[in-house]
Amino acid sequence: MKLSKRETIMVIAIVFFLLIAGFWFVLLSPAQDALALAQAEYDIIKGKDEENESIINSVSTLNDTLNELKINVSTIEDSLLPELDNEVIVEHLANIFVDHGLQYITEITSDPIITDNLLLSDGSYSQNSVQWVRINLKISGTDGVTEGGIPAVGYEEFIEAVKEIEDENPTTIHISSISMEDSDYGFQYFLISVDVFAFNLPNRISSFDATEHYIVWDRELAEAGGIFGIPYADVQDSLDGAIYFKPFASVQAADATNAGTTEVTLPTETTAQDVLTPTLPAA
Amino acid sequence: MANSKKFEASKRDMNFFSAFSSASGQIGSYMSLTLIVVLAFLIVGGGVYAFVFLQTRAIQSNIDILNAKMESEAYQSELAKFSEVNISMSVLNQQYYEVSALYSRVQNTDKIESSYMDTIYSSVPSDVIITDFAYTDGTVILSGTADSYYSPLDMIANFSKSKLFTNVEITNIAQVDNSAQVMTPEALAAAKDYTFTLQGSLKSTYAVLISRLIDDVATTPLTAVKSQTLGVGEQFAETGVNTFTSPDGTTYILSRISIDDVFISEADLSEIKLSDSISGIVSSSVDIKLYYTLSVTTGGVQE
Repeated sequence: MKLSKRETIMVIAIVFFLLIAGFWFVLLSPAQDALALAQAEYDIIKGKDEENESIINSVSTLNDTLNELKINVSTIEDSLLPELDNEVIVEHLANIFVDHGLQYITEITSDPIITDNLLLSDGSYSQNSVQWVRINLKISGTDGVTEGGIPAVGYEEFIEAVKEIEDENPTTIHISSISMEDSDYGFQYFLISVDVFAFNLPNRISSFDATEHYIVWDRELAEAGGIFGIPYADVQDSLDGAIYFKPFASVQAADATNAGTTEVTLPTETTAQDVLTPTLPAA
Repeated sequence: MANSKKFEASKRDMNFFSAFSSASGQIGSYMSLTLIVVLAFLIVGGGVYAFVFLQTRAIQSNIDILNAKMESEAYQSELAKFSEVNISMSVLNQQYYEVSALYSRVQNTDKIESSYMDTIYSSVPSDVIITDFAYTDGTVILSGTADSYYSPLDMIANFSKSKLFTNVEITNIAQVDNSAQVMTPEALAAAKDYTFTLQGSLKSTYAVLISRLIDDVATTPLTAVKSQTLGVGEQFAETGVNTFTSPDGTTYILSRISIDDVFISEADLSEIKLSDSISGIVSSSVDIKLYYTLSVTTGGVQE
């Protein structure tokens, strides 16, 4: 079969076209798709890597911020006492007054410890809380002329002691009230109420100062030997021999007011001996 | 005739061969050209394919390298460090909020200031004797004796000059009846003629608390509570309330505000957003909670 020139060119063109198409669709296109896919995958991974790198690079900055935050939290944690020890607080406050010449402390009381919990916005309570106790002291001033030649100590010494308490640890010790009562006998009573605050932090991050005045008991151990109950030998003279119902006595003393539940019938003419040995009613 | 036909036939054959050889020569040249083009195409196509293939391999190789890097122990450990730091930060932030909130309560409890007593002490006229005083809850009560009823008034005038009290009340000024007393004339002359009781109110102070929280169910705190103690009539102002950037660089946008646990209206919120600040005059304790949502950036615009 003879092909014309045109036909020959056309056949060659078709073959060539098929060749290109075959190359394009069978080889190049899948290869390009694979390249595009690989490029897309690479871009994603590269993006992720860059993101991670930026995260990794931010760790040191975050660590700095974290340390700064720790310092801030520690500063606040250290601003209140780590615990409340009534005996230490009272002893320390009393010492301040004694140091200013107000050594006649006539009354010390302490109110029950109050715990202030923090209600969080989600309605739950925080484990952290603040505790505080109010210590009340009543101290007598002196008139300077009483027996013993004690120098006069009054308002000025009291207010100096107040200032010392106020300045010593202003974040944790608050003086809630002060007052004075004049005795009209040349001396005054000074009263002070001091609120002492402590954090109760189960997850405390800072270590507390173990040498803080208000938590360290620095007196020597008291010698043991105290007893329970006032022994007969220590009964005041004015009470000794008074008629009082004694459950353990075989014979009760007769007294209408102090005889307890036992009814005593006294003889018409009562003698001292009768009082000591009354006639008990029949059971 | 027959010869003439044979001649014609041989002539046609010759023409055919001539045409045939001429056509085959043309085809041959086309084939050569085609072969050259196909060869060129194969070379170019092969080159392109090889380029694409090699590029794909190179990218794949980079992917493998990146994957290996990202899966490496060192890399994962660095990432884990970030998670640890973030968790620590979150825990610490909560602790910071809680201790600061508790501490602000302590800071804002009533306490006396001995400096007020110094002012009172230096304002007592010479003929006045203070026999009793009580200073608690921002109030000072003074009782005493004086030579005249002017003396307690002089004392109040002294207090006014030093602007110590916001208000002073004369509870009582009374003449002392000494007629029943057995006293020498000298003692009677020395005895004070009046007793008095005064009550003064010191300037009240109140706490202003500002908290920043995430506007979600858990209302996670973003930072410590900011606490100020201000006197009555003083102004409080907090600027830069519209956004909050946490230490890790995350930006939050103001969504709601509550004052003493009551959410403010949309109109008030818009006004605050416009001025990027919240302010007011102190007349009582104020607890302001600023709620934020995570900022989302779309097309370069923060939402």
